[in-house]
Amino acid sequence: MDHENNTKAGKPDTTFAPYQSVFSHKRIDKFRHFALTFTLLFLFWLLLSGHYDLFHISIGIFCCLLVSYSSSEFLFVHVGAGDSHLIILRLLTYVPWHLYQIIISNIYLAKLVFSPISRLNPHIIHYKTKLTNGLALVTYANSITLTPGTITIDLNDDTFYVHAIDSEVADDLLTGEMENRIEKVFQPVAHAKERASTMLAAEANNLIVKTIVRIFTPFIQIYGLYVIAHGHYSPGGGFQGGVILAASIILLALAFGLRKTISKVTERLTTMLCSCGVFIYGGIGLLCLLLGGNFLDYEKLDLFLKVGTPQARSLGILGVEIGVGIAVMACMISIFFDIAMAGELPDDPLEMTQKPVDTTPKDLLSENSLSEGTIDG
Amino acid sequence: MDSFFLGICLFLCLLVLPCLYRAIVGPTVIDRMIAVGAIGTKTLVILILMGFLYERVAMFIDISMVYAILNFLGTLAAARYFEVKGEI
Repeated sequence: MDHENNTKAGKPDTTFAPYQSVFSHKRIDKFRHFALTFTLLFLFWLLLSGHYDLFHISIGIFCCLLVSYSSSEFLFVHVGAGDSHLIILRLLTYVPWHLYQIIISNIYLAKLVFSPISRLNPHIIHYKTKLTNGLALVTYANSITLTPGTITIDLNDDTFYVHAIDSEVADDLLTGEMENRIEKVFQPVAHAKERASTMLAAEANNLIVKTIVRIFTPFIQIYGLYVIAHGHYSPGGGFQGGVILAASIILLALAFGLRKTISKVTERLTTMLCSCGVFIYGGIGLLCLLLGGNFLDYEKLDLFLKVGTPQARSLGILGVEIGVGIAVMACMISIFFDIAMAGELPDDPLEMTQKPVDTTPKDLLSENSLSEGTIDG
Repeated sequence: MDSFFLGICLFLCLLVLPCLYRAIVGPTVIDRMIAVGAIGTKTLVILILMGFLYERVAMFIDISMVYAILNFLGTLAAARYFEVKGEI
């Protein structure tokens, strides 16, 4: 596995700064994205964990490296490497304004609902937006939905379809103040202009759902790993953490289509992980048996761990939790894939509108699914 | 303070009832989906308030986060299913 190689990459990138010209820009970008993702995920882990001893922090570092290696391209796709700090700073000034707007419209809406004469006049407005950046579009759409009284229904190319509960709310929206503010937040700096304005072709359909899922997936995965690693102190454990991890993959499949997901998380991989999990669980159990105890009698692990009985029990439980987590995750994913595919890999109806440049050899995939389906059964 | 939280909890539980009515009776599937989503959001708040009542907020926040993820996943899955199926 590649995690050892990436241990170096997780360190702060200051030492690499003088050598920027040596590496190609693409590589630097990739590295920056990895480091940024790792930092964010690790902060999230520290926030969740609450155990700040060496053991837990090293588990956290390992989990964050794992997730940021597997999904470093999920966060920070649209943002050019140079201007991400600037956008975050500007976003900090936008959020209070938006909160204020939410409070105002809440009061207005409450008045509307409780007024004796019904003044509701729900209708759908549509208008073209001047925003081009994908992230800006998503922020705008979600801001509209968060503000009471208006809900974004659809975003088609550059046309917004918004449901407004009354014409005053709609007029407020059409003044375009929110749009202008968001445009200012995501204004690219000069050198990254052409990069920031391009939208990923793969995300043209269902932009909102895809962006949200893309941003949330690494955090959901870290949360799942946290639940597994802290199963013996707080609610959760192997089963629950495994289900959360599987939920992140299922979310990806729902948003990006089954075909794309299955080309990354192959059935071969899930079947392998499934057996690995069972192997870890059964291996620890049998190890205790071999050392002269009962099945899963963790005390006996102390004979070679040499850390004291309570600590050995804790480590044994952690090992079993990890095994169970991996097995449950793989099983859930493969159950979802099997049900969704119904034995064959169909063309995704939602992706059909795009140009079909899928190079996945279909025969190979269906053959795989067939042979592994029989193993599962 | 405890009785305040308990009061809010009970009030939210009462508010779940109209949503439940809509989820059971609701003429269209979309009504039901939105009603279930609204119940999920209320449950989230109730869970955190329960955390304050039992003085174990950290634990209940963990639970409510899982609930939020699964709520989002469920709504998305239903929406996606009806989008592909093309009829309600």
